[in-house]
Amino acid sequence: MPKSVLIVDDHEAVRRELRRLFQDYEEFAVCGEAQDGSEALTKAQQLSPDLIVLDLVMPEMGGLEAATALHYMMPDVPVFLLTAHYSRELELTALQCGVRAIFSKYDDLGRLLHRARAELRIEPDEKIQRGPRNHDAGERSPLN
Amino acid sequence: MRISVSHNKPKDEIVQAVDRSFTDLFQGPDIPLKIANPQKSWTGSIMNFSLTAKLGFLSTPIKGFVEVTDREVIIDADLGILERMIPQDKARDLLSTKVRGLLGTGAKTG
Repeated sequence: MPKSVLIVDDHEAVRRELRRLFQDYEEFAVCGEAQDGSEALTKAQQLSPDLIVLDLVMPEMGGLEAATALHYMMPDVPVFLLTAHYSRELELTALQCGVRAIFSKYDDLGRLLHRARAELRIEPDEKIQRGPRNHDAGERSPLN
Repeated sequence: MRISVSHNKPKDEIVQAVDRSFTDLFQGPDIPLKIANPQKSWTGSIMNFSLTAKLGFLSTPIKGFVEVTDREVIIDADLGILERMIPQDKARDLLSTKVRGLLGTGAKTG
C-alpha cells in the first residue's frame, strides 16, 4: 500500500515537479495538492495523508502557520517544509512549529525522499524490491 | 459555534463572572492558546467580544457575543481557523466545560 502524500505549494510548476518526484516511486502516491496553507488544512482533513510537504511562503496562510495547525490536528503525520529561503534559523523555527524536516528547493530532493521513507518506516527491502519506476532519487535535479 | 449553559445563580453575578473571565474561556491545557487584544462591550446583558488567539506562528481572530439570561449563558462565537483545527464536538465540549467552570458546578449544557 503506497504512502499518501499531500503537496502544498502556491506554484503549479513546483507542485507538478513534486508530484512527478513522488510518482516515480511506487511506495508513494500523491493523494492531493493545495495552493496555500488554508487549503492544506481542508485537504488534510479530507484526505488524511501519510505525509505533507509544505512550501514556506504562500498566500492566505504560510507554511509555518499551516505546520502549526497541522501538527495540532494530526501530530503523528510528518510535515516537511520545502523552501527557497532555507537558513539554520528558519530550520529551528520550523521544528518548533512541528515540522519534522526542512529542505531547500535548491538541494537534491533525493534527501527528501530518503527522509520520507525513514519517517514513514518504508522498509529498504520494500523499496529495493519495488524500486524506482524510472530512475534513482540521486539523479533528481533540484527544483527551480 | 453556539452553546448554551444553564445556571441557577443571580444574573448579575453571572454577568460579573463573564466580564471578569471571558478570555479564560478560550485558554486551557487542551490547546495552549495565547490571547491578545481582548475587547469587550456590554449592551444590556449581552457582551460583544473579540480577541486574537495565538498558537505559535498561528494567529486567528475570535469574535462573538455572550448573552446572560436569568437561566442561561449563551455563547455564539466565530472561532476562526480553530474551527477547522478542532472537531466541532470537541470544541463545543471544551467551551462548555470552561463555561461550567466559570459558573460553578451543577450547570448543564444545552
